[in-house]
Amino acid sequence: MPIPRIKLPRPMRLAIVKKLTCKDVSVLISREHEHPLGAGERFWLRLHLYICTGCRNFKNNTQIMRAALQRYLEQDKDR
Amino acid sequence: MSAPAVGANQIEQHRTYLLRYASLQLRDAGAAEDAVQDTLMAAIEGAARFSGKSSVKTWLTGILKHKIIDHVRRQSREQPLLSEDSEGSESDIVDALFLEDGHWRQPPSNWGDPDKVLENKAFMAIFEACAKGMPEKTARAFMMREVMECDTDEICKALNVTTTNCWVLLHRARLSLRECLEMKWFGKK
Repeated sequence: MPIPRIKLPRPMRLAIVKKLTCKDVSVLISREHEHPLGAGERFWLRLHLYICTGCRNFKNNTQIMRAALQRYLEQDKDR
Repeated sequence: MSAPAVGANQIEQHRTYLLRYASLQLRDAGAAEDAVQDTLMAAIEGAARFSGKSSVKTWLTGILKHKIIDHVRRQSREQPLLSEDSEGSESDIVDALFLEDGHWRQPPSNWGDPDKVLENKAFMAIFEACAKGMPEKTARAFMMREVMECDTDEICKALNVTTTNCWVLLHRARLSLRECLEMKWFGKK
């Protein structure tokens, strides 16, 4: 007998199918620095970032670290 | 023979920058010094070939980049086992930062205005210490990516690892550098 299907709004359906943890998201955020993500990955990442402050901060922190490295290299000799 | 397009002292004045660049990558002060020395020599010898299309600094950095990659490649060939085993596995370091359900054990905090942070000399000193304290192979992958702007393929080839492994190294690098900064700098405030 076929399982009866309940029609949920699309985003909710997707959220049930797949839920990224913060750990998964940190992997995506890191990989995005190397390589463009797939459309699906970008979607899940955005959705997660929208609701998760910690991961949003992680993303910002990785950008600050990148900028810090550049700054470090450009520092004057006087240090 | 035409005069070199760029003079020796014009080359020499970038030494500090190059040395900083090389030592982020090579750790070993002697090796960094050697790479810079080789670069300056190559530059002075090849000064006539400097086209002037890029800045002297960019040109020198390009030469240094090759020297560093050569060095890294040589080293990865000679000691291919400088790897996961000696640095703890990926799961050790990453798992320590996450709970079993995949949530942050200690969620990253907001570091505030990047410009303000980066202008702070004390922050930059801690940043240097944290960057130089990263496990070697992790640091190497990270610096090749962020400083030398190599793509993943180049990094994998130089370090003799697979693409997936490369991403793992870079992920670990960002997590551990971030953790160090969070503890030593941002945690205090």
